[in-house]
Amino acid sequence: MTEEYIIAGCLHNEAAAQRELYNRYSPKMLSVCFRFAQSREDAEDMLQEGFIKVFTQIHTFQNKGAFEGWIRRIIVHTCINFLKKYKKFNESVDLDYAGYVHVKEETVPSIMQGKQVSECIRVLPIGYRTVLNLYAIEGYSHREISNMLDIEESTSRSQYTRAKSMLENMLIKKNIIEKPAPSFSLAGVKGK
Amino acid sequence: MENNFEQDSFEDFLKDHLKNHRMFPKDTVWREINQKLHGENRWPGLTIAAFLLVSTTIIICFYFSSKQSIFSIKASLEPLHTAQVVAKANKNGLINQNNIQFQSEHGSLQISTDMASRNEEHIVTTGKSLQPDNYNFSKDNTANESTTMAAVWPFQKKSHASLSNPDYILKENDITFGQASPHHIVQLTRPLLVAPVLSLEIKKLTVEAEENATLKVPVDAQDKALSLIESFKAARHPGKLSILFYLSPSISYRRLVEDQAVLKGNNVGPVGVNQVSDVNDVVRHKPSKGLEGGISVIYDVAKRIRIKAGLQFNVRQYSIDAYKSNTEVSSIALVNNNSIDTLNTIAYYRNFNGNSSTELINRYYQVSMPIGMEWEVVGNKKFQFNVAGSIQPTYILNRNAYLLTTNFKNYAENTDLVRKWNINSNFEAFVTMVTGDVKWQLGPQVRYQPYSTFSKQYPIREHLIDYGVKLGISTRIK
Repeated sequence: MTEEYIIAGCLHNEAAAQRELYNRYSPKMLSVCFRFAQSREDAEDMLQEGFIKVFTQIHTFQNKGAFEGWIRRIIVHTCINFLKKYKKFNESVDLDYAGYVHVKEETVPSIMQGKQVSECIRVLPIGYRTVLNLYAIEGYSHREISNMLDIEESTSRSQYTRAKSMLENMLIKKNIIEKPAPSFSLAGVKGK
Repeated sequence: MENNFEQDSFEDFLKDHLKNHRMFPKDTVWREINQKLHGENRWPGLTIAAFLLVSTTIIICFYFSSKQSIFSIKASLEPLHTAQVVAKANKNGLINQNNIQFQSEHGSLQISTDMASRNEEHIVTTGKSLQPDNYNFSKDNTANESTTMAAVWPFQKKSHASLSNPDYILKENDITFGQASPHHIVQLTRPLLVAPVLSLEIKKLTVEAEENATLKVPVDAQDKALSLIESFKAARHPGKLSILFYLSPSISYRRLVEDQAVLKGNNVGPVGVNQVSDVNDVVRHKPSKGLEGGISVIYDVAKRIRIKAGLQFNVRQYSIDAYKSNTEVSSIALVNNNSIDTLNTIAYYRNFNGNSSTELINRYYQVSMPIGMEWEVVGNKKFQFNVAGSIQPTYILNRNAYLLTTNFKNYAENTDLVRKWNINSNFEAFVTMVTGDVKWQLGPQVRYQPYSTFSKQYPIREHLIDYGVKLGISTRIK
């Protein structure tokens, strides 16, 4: 079934086309939701809400960009709204405190690398995680993120910096990446 | 191992590693999406049961209608020359249609209708030949052929003073018949009993002085008169079989009992049985609405005792307060010959703390074949009080129920532990009211499942109890 055919079917509220669209994109979108969510159940709730919006708003898709990108934007916004709705951001750590957040190494799963990276992201405090997801993976600018999350642009930047740092540490601990060698030592000698 | 930082492209690194990451949602996600988009699927079992009940009712009503009886009688016409309608005056000297008798050389029939409570008197007639010239029995021509329609003709007494005298002999002029009006056309529930009046010829009404206050009406429609007699005979000798349709909204409860033999046993298997607290203290279950519908055939074995058998459909359910949780592996202890085995299962719900609260439903669809007995404790022709009981071999149509894990921590689904067959018992008390050919019944009932819903290996026994109000309608099979 081609994408055009699926879209046409969804526009006519045909269950078969909707199912096809769901089967095609739900695995990828669930992984998106999972990175934002606290648990798999929350991720599935986000996915459900997101796909209902996709099906009910599909008439607004104007074929100007990739269909997957359009779905992804809806899903991401749904995730953000979900987090706001259930006040998940309240569980976020304070920025000043974030530097002391200690992530136990054993809480980081070591399975396949894609999933491993995803799990590492999910271990981050929710505020960091959300900003990192939006900026580094979904490609939103800090200005857009500040609007989406109702925070200052500077806050978004600093949260991202902290999140990035924490994630790097985790990935190094899991041997997914190497610790970067400093370009220059204080003595001006190139390190190992 | 990669050194992504040398590329100074942390974002690209994340995107590369995550772009092919896939996760597969549970089937319930799509079901809920589909349900929200296209509405909840109607429960097919209820629809089918309702359809079966309605269609069976219609078929039986048509099958036992007078149309067939009269047609069958017509095939064996016998000569019949005279028949009479005798209207006897009551104590007050008033002619009451309940006193109208039809007489012929083949017998007599007391005509009884439900119009007795009315102040005005009526004669009930049916059929084309009885229509007054100036009144079209029905605008629908087909109704003229229908024997299930009747016109109730009001008649007026000219002299109340004379009629009040029991010795007064009615004369033809004492009574004039009015015109049937549309609201006097009624649907007969027992057409055979009214069929005799088919042969009335009201215009030829004559009064004879042979008996006190009697009216004699000659009849010339032989086939109709014959049908009258036959139907009268049928009415005098009703069959012993009745058919009953019933529906019972109920509230479903459950009773949980732990297997005491296991608790006291010494043979503890790989999973310890929870002995800390009573299971009823740690679960949060709430009763829910249930429904029962069915059809029964009742046989009169004695004047006040009847036996019955039939087919019944039940929905029973109760709700469980639980919590969503991450997927967990839980254990269910299974008792086998006083030893305990372990069944590991995946659980998505917790009994205690979890991510968010949710409500689970344990709903069972059951088909059963009740076999029971009724006893009419007290009553008269119109009202009776009865008690009844039945045993109901039951087949469970669905077996997806949430079971409590051994440590009481999780709820897990395991269809293998739900019995396919079970037995239920029923006790009811009800009042019956007779209206024409139909008997209505209403009363409370209790349905109890003495055997556990789950197989005997599962150490927690669940007994279902329904408290309902049963409404039934029955009619005699002739």
